Amino acid sequence: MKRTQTIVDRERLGSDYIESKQDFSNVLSQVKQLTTSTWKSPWFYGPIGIAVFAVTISIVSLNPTIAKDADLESREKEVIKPLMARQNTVEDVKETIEVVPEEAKIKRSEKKMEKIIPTATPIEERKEYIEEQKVSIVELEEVKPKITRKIPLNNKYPHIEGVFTGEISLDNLFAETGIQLNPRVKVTSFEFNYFNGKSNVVDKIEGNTIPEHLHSTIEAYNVGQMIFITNIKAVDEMSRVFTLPSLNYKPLKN
Amino acid sequence: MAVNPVYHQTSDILQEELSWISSAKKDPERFGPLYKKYHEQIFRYIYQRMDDQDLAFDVTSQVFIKAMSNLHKFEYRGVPFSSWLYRIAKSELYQAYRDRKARKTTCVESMHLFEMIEEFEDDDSVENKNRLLKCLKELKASDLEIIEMRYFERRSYREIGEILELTENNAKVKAFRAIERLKTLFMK
Repeated sequence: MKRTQTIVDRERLGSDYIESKQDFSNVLSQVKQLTTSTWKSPWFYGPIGIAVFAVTISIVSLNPTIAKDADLESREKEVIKPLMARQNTVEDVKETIEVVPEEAKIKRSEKKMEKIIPTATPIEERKEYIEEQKVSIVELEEVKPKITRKIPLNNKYPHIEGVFTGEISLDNLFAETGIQLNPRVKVTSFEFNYFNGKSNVVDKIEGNTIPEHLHSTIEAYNVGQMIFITNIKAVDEMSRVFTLPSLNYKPLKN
Repeated sequence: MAVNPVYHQTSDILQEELSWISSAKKDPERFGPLYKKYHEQIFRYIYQRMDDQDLAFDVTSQVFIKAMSNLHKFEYRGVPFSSWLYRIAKSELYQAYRDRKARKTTCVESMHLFEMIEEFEDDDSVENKNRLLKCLKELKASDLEIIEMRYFERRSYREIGEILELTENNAKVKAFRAIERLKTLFMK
């Protein structure tokens, strides 16, 4: 530790001299530099930041439209991402197909109808009414496609009846719906590569469906073999023409 | 022994000071009168314990910067505002010893030394003066501090108590014991 030095009879400084050294403005400016505004201090941002975050969260969670949109977005991502990432395998597409057994539908409808019929109605009349309803429901079911396929609206990969690649039944391959992408894009032409019993041929086809006259050839020589649909041309709502990725299928008998 | 009258203030002066403090709490620019009033006192307190004059002025400025920054924490307890400033000054002084390599100093006047020698009932010779200086160096820092305040700066026991955060009586007792220890050393 340093020793204290002793100074004897040091010249005493005059009050005027000390006063001349006063500089309040300098002290004041240094104080202002040191003092941070409340809104600049972390103490302010802590509680305020938490409050803003809490309010935002509560608004989002309480507002049903925002929550619904977010839910839809997340569901959409769940459906689209695997499709894009795994190059649209059959398994992926199967995930999006929803098959509703007809019997189950009728049973559910019957239950609904029973609720509507007033309990005071005689039993015979009620039975007749239920039968009528059954018939009308069955008719309606027939009109609707048996399998509901869910293909995203912004799908970017061509498919036939929801099958993007791999095995496909002959019925699906020659379905009237043909090669599809999404409602905004229409397939105009494509090249069909197959084996005709002698050699591999490439047919240039206009439209989006495989002609029915090729059905027998495909069934005879190409079942279990790869066929290729290439150079698929499509046009969108803005009349822009572009080429879609090729399709590879292995036809199977129904 | 005559006591420095600067510290003693009437209640009217204390009230005026209090109004300055409350207005300075709202607007730092209103601290001006307090700065003007206490600048010299605080400077002398610091310079008494330091050998570098420029550094002493610098430390004095630091004391007022600290005081203004922390004025919102000040609570009036019926004693002059200077007692609060002295406490800040003491802290800044120790910081200057540590960080700025300032040399710890005790400034004494021959007149004060001879008065002490007289109190010890000895001759006020130059030889005794040198002996007393040597004894002062041998004293503990706390004893030297209280002797310095009481005998060289002529502060009242009340003021010493407020600066050192002691009661007036305690300051008196401590000063008495310190001077007794010095006397013992001197009489050896």
